[in-house]
Amino acid sequence: MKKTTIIILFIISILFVYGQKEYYYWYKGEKVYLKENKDKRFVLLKNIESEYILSQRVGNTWHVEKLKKENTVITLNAYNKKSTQQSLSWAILKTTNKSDITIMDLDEIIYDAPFFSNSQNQDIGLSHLFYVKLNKKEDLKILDELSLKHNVEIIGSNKFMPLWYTLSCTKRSTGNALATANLFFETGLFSASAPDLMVDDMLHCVNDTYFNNQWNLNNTGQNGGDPGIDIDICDAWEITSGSDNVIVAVLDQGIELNHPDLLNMSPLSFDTESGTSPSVVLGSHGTACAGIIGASANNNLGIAGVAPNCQLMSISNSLAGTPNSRQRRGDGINWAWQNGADVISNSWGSGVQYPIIDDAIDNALTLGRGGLGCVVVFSAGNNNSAVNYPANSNPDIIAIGANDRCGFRSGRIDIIPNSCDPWCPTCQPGSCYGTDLDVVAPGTNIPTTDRQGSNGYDVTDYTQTFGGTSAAAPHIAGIAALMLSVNPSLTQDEIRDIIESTCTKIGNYDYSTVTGRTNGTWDDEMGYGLVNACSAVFEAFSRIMSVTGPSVVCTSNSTFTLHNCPPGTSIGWKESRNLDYVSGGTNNYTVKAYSNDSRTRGWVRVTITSSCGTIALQKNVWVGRPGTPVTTPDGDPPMEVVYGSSFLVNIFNPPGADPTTGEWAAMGSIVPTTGTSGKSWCHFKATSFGYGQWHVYTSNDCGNSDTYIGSVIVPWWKFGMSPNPADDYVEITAEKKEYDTKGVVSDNYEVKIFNNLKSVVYESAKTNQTLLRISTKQFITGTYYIHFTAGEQTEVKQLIIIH
Amino acid sequence: MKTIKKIILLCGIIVLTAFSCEKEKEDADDLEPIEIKKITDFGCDDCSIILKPEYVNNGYYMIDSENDFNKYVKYATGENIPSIDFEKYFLLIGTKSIEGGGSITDEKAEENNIEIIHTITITRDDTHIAGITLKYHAFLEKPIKEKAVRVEIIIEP
Repeated sequence: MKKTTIIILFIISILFVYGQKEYYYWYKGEKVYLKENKDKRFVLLKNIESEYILSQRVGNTWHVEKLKKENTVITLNAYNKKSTQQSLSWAILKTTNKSDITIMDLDEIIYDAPFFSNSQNQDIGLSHLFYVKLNKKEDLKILDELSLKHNVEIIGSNKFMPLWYTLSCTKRSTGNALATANLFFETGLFSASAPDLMVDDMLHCVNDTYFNNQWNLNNTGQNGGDPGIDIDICDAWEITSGSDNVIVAVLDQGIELNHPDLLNMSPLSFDTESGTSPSVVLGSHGTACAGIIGASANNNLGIAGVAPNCQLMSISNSLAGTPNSRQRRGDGINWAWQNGADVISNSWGSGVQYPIIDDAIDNALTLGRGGLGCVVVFSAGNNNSAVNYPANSNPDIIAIGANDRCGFRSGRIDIIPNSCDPWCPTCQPGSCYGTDLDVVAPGTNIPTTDRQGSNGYDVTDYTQTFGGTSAAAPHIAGIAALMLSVNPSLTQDEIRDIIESTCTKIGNYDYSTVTGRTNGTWDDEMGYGLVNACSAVFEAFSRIMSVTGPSVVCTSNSTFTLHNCPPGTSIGWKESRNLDYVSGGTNNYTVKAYSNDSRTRGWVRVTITSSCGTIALQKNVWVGRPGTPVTTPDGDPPMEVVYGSSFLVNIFNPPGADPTTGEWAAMGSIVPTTGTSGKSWCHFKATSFGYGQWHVYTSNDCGNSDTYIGSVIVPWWKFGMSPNPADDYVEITAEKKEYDTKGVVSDNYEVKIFNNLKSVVYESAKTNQTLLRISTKQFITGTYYIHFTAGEQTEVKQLIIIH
Repeated sequence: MKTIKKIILLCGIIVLTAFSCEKEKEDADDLEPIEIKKITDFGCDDCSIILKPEYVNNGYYMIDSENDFNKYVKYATGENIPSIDFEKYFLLIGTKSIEGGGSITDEKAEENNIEIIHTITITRDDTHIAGITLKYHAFLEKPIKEKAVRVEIIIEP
């Protein structure tokens, strides 16, 4: 009996051991063991580029810790030009329900893998990639066959070490990248095979101590929040974490200038109460607001600010209802813009309106930043009513409300019953709303810097519970600073427009089109929605991106260059059908025309994609030699010109050519009078009666255009007389030519008759009669000369009188 | 005889009570300021004390023994924990939550022969913080005679 029990126990323990999956990878011929971490999974996605959308798709059990779009083949020699692995997104998902992997059935997830931890308990992610080193280059065939068998894709070889190949798994593969890498290695056919394991440093965007509490910057579902309800800062930081040239003034109770996590303080500061520098600390509020804007990031300490590399300028005021306080706040605003502040952050209100404050704000908005205008942000207030003063005093101010970590307006639970993170019962009732509200930002339980020691809200150097629209406003100040870091030429109203138009429409609020609100749909409680640092910074950057290149493309190579591309983006070039691709890199793209006789418009387009958005820039070109010039003289085209007069012909925007390449010529009754070469225009003169013809052609690098031919007529009156010889009378017939004269030909003529002594014996008045009967009874027999004159045209005929 | 005794005793009690009340009423008008000591006054410049989180309730505690001190209070900061003579001092420590922003702008302690009053003045400000919890504490000398102790909080707009 005893023996039987021992055997059963032995079998159970064997089954248990074998039932446990063994995770390892091969390194230099040795197995390195890993422990599975069921909290997290790495997923590869198609058609999802937004953290928020992914959160909606994966449901409540999972939350999105990170989402990123990446081109996996940038550094590789592409093996398969049609690789499906280009421009996919990947994400890290976290769960508390370790057994629920049902979301992996989503169509959008094309690969998933568990997380692991190593002997130091570090989180280790497993991507879809693994690397195989061939023994010799001829082994590529073996790799190809094995890849086909196990449904993995060879993406390409390493540019510097061509024996190393990168392969990619999908859900259809035999196993994930770890299992498949092991499987390949264990065939003994390859020199090495290693999965793409990702260690902690890439999984969090910064290493600050309390960053995991900063749901406002990266909401992973902490404390029951909704993942993605944040300002999307990690992706924005891939573009910029700020520039030292951008200064954010914080008009508040003064920033603690020696706080260990506020390292980027401007040397300039001001105390409005005494009218002197430096600023002083008159309360805890300023240090808390400042941390949200500009606490140092990635310093293994405390928290990270929105714009950690921008400068903070401390302007202190008591913010109390003391005599002269309001004028001093106005002084603070004026001092800030006059001393180089780009953004002025205000997390305060005033129960009474003050024209002095209004004027100071107006000065900052119009005169600050050399006339580009300071960005002025104000908190909306917390009394669950209309937006407070001064936030409501000027439409150029950005008025900011607060939202909680689930996407609801911030407030006490009795005011916002659905809030997952309400303000405290003894707090003010709720974030202000209504007509003057522009945007919202996180404003409940925001971790930030606190005055050191026991002086602040908390006894440590940080507080985790800063709340109110006081906390919301600094987020926008930080985002504006990031935008100015990448594009300092933006005006304050451009920044406001971008911030408003890039908001995320969070929560179940009724965003709709509202008169006077031109930057998208808007809601009474949320304004344009939750600010999105990533989209706003990308949009700001996109305004300095450009593509340059020739305006004419011939059959020789033409290279186009992308300028000012933000980091962390993938780039795709495309050209019109009349162009042929030659070569392409990240920032340069070379094409040529199929034919110089294409003579049509074309384009080269570059699409820049980042986690923060996509923008397409297009450079329009002319392909081939120019089209036929389009010519128009000043005014309407003349078909007739008066003999002896001049006229002007211009080329207007000849397709595909510079108009100054015009080559002019004339024949017949007109001559060019101002040269024939290298001009967009030419003067002609009518030097004889009859038809005149002129032509012009243009040229570009691809050749000459077709010739445009124009013609004019230099018109005349057709005079006749009879009888001749005459006796008692002679009849003059005058027929005006049938062309449309456009008023350039004389409408009247006159007749003079001279005797052979050149004396005038008859002179008519100016007339347009077609038949003029002249009595000749008085003329003695002899020879006479009749002069017909119409404008500058004169014609002479001989008349014989015989009585 | 028993009845007379009872009447005399009753009268005595009434007279004593009346006399006693009159005396208390007189003394209650003479409040004199008394010295407030902070934790830093006990030889530890970087020390700060707070109520343990479970005792933070928008009220205050009067602590007159080391046992109670250890039960309700913790050191938030400070390297060299000072020794406090609870034979001589007692501690008033508490919190006050207010809507919006503000700070303690005045703090004073006064006594007469029947009570000690610790008055905290909080002045609101124009910041747009949703709400704050202000912390206060005061070490006061124990009176020779037992007296009532209370904290009065004045919130100025």
